[in-house]
Amino acid sequence: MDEREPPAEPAADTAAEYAAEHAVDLDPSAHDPRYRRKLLWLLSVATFFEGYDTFVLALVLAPILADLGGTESQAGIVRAITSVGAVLGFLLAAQADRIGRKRLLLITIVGYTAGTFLTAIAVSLAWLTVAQFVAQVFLGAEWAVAVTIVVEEFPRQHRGRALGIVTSMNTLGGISVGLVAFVLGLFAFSGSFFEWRIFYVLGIVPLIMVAIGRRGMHETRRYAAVRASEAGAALDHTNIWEPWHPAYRRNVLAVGLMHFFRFAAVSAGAFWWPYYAQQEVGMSLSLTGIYLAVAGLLGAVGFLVAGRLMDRIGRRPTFLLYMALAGTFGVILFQTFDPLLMLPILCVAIFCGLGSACITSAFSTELFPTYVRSRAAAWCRNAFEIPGGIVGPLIVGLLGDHRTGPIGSIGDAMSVLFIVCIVPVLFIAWRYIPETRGVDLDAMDREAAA
Amino acid sequence: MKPRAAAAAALLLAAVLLPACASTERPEGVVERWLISLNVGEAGQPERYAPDELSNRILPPPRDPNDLDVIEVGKGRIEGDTALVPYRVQVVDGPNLDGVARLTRTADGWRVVALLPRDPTLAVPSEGGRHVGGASATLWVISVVLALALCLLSAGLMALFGRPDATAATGSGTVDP
Repeated sequence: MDEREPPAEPAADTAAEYAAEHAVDLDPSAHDPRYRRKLLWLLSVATFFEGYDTFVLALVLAPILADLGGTESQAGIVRAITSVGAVLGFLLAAQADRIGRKRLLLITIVGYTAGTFLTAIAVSLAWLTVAQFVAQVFLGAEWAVAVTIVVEEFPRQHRGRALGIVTSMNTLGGISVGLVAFVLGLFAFSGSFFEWRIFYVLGIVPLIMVAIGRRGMHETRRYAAVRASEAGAALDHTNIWEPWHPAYRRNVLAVGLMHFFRFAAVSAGAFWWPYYAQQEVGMSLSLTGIYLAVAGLLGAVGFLVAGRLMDRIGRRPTFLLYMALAGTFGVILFQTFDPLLMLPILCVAIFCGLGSACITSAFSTELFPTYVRSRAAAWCRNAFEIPGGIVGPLIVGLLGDHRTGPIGSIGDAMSVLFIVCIVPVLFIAWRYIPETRGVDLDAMDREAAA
Repeated sequence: MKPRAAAAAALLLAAVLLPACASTERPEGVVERWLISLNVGEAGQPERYAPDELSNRILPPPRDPNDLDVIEVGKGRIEGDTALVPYRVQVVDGPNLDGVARLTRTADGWRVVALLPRDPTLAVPSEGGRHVGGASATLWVISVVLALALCLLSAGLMALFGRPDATAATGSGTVDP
């Protein structure tokens, strides 16, 4: 049995007392740095493949339709159904407060691998839709539990940096899809049975990583101590509505709304920029790809810089700075028609727009006590952010459609969306989001247990 | 802020958003859809927008995804039931094709009926032509109003559902609200 598994019977009154009685040091800095590095690596694999999977379907859609049969409108339906899977991942993510972080992380990785493998062997569009739906349910749950583990297992002075690394892997995963496509192109898979399936076969990599890394992975000390304490055991670890308890709902609502507006703008920008560059600026497909790769790499650095800044100057100032720059450069980006000028503007927009995800992941976890943290993160991520990521691109598509949209320009529709969404984000962050740098999670747990 | 203000903000949002649902059909969009459908391999349905003869002049079969490296359409000119739309495509490892597509309005909407040579009065944006569509000055003002309305709505929701006291964070005494 894991030395940090909670005992069957609660023995102490509070998590802190339990920790004292059982010589468990709740201070994450007591962890072996090698263990933290290993944990970071394992969590990074999980978030890397979340980013990878997000972009794969868009890239291989055409050969899938050619192979399995289907129209563009059916492809839209497939995309919509799989997105619902990511929202439903909320129900799974919320279980981390009941069954533990480690167990849920392993379940999500195994579930995602199964879903993606089933996708690789799909023989019809319906099969592929169901398989992708399953994969998205598990992927949708993975993010919340991964950031929760980071917050609970890293010392407060390094939390921001660790969050920056884990969340940046999401962007790197997205970029890697293009790299994989380039490498596979060298092996002449085009036209073969594996033309698009090979992208999903690669999805079994996380399972291999987990098979190697799971034995040394422990339940987070903080979660184990809260579950083992008498006061902690008395708390509600199962109700998915617990984050809406009067003590927490203000923070859930504020962080959730902020997540929604931010991701509506950022995801629409990420989704529509290639189309805008090609159809409205006249850039070639290959140049668009090069720009995305360069800006994406810089975007990953945006996560790391945000992580450092979060630890140095605080979460709120970093977030306000990032979002002000993301909003300004987002509007300018979609009003730029000079390909040369486009690259630096795109780099700043992606650096700040995507990089801000690491700060929102801190807000969605550090504001809540351990017994409800994963459910709160799941609410913020799955119930607010992911729907924002569905609504934003949809609105831009409807408004900016060149054929029937009221605006008729993707660039103008995007700029309008940036103004409409980023202003509320700044307002909510300035007015309602507390600073969480150096927040004492033990004190928060004691307060919750009192 | 009172919930009444949130309701007012919601009404304002609806008043601004509903007119935005109105739509029109642009011939430039039809030309663009046609060229894109040529560029998605066998999954494309270019016959929905133009006869096969014209499609084959742009990109003869067999077609693979991303055969066209550049697809660009500019602002066209509508004269009654006829429209002229400038376009430019760059075939990968092939020629740069540009010209003007002539469309006629049918019961099902606009349809490409002919491909004409370049017209100096019609150009794609990268060659100095005008862009398709665009937001009016009023829309930019409305977007700012909409942003402020969403701020009000957020404040209303916070007043309605969020209690300013007794948060876990403030209770622990470790974070400043």
